[in-house]
Amino acid sequence: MVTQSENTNGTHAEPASGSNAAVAATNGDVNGTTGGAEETQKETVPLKQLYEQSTQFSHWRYAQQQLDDMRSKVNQEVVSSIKQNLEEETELRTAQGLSLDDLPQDLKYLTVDDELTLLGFYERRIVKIFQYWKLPSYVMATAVVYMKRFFLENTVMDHHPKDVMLTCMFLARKTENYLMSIEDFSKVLKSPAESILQLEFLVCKTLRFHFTVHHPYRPCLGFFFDMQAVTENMSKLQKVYERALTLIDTALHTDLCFLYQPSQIALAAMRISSKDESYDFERYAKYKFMSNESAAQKYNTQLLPILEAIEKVLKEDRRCVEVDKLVATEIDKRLKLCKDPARNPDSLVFMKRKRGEAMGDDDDDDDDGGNPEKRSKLGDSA
Amino acid sequence: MAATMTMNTSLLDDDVCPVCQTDRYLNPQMKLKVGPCFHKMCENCIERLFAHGPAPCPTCRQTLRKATFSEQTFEDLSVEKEVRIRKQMSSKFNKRREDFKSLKDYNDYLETVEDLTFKLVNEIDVETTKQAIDKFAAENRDLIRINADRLLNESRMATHRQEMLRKERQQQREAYLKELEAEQLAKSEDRKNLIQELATSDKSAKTILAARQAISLKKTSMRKTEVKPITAGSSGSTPMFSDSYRWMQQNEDVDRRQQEEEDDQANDNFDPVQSQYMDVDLGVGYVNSVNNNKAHAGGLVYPLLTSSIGVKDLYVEPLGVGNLSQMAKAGGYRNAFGYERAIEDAHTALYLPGL
Repeated sequence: MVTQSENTNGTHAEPASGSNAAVAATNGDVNGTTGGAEETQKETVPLKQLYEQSTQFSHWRYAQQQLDDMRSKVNQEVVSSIKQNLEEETELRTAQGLSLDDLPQDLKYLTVDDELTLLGFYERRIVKIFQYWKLPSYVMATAVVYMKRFFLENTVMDHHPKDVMLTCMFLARKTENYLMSIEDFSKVLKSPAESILQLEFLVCKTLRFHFTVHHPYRPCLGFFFDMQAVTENMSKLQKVYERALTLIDTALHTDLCFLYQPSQIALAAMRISSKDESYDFERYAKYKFMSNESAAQKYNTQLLPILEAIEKVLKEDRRCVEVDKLVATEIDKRLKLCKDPARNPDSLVFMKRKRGEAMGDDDDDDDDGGNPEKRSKLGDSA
Repeated sequence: MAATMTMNTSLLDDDVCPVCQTDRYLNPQMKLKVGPCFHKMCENCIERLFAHGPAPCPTCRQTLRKATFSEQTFEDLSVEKEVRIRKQMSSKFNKRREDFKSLKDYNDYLETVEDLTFKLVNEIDVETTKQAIDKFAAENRDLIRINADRLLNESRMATHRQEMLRKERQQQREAYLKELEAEQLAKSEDRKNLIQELATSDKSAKTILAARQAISLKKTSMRKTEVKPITAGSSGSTPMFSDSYRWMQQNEDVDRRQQEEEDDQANDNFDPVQSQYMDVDLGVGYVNSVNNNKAHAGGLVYPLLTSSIGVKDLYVEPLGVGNLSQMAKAGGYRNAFGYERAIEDAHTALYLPGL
């Protein structure tokens, strides 16, 4: 009998599986830490719950509106904090009589759009580098998804996407089982190892240690197999499949991975590419989804709208197009000006903050019950 | 006795002949030989200098001949020298303990020998030492000869003994193999007869089998208790084997046979793949149902979508995907597993609405 799953920790962060996603995801992720191991009886769990345990399903699905809100919120927070810091810096400098020349005036802060453009540029850089390495496409896809997820909660003004890009690639190679040592990596990419490793933990934390990502590549292959039942012309189907794979690569740069499921994206890709290659998709759809009245109903009301929505995104989203290098450079220039002064060790604001921390310790000393170590460290300051 | 050690050639890489200054680069096969004055020379030089008879050594001007040069066995020339001297001494001073009345006499003798050797090696009073040696050799000529003969005899006996040993071992092994063959023949005979009986007789299969089993059991138990005598063509040299050794050998053979029988029985039940749990027909590229259409995960069993979807047995792979390598197949992977996973993934959460 079908029983409800008694997974206690099903929806929390799954243990970081450095293993190959292709292996880990036979059907979503296996939560190996349930107490099921102790049971002698095997329970049959309804299928959807196995996929529902995957972190991608539980944590990384959003609606478009949610995505927009998150991004603009983070952006505005950072912008306002930078504004504040700049004002402080100006004050401090005027107080000390220092020049204000190098402080940027009338900053045009980066908008969410600018950020997304810049990110798109760097995502495509990831794709290029992975093409050079000739690894399977899902490794590259994982790296891109890591970067996208990271920049849902951070802005480019905080961390330059160039550094994050390298860290994401390094991480993705690890989690998808194509490890490259940090020495080799920094040598090949001509970038110091420390900067990559410094960001690594932050990236992992922002990803909430959910390293397994499901991509539409395997579902696409599954549909390729399934469609063979209604195909006579295999070479055409082959072309449809290859075209669908490139579509999935484009879809990678949009937000589709947050909005829809990999299988849906794959099916949409196959549908679009069969239109382009004049392959009869409807025949397959009828065979598969519309075998009887109720199934047809289900397909038309539930699945078809999704497929059409995905198609719309793929047609209209500007991120499907390559980002012009000049545009990206221009945004990058502006980004450099937007640097938060509080992070600049030379600025007065930074020093003030530092002193503030130190002074804060001093103040605490009075309230502190009696941390002898602290007391002795600060001398007789109490 | 002859020490035929050759030096570790890696040490010779930067050897240079002191006479002609060729090194291994110019003459890869260069070999340095040592003369009686212990000076090294490459073979070419030796050939060149001593081809027309004795000539002075280029280093020390001692007269040498070509024949007196020999290969160097020790890295250190002084060791080489000493070994050579000792060899010569031992050919003359070969008295044994039995030749002396008391231990003290023997030790005195040994001490004199050492003294002489020391003088020779370090070139102290060489002339007088040589004279003393010659004197000794002349006096004890007979004894020396007898002892030399004795030594020769002993070495001959030792080699002979080894030969005998080897032969005997071989014969035993052959006998054992013959027995094994005979056993095999007997087994196959039995089997043939069994099949014949089963085919022709009226009794039920069970009774026939039971009867057979009883007979075979009796046979094996008889064999175990039996101790076969070693049928070696042993000559008069067998006395050198102690009885315990022979007994050990006999029992070793029997044990081995026992072990093999046990292994045979175990082999009938051995099932590494635990095929009772698998529903797999390992035909070419064909899998019936993988894991009975269920996924086992952490003790819970998930019914797979593919049970309702229906995974076919054979699909055309997309171009660019080659055949499975042998290594992959040896690991137990089949294409069918891939098909099932891909189709499974394709249908997961297909109807899940967006947020």
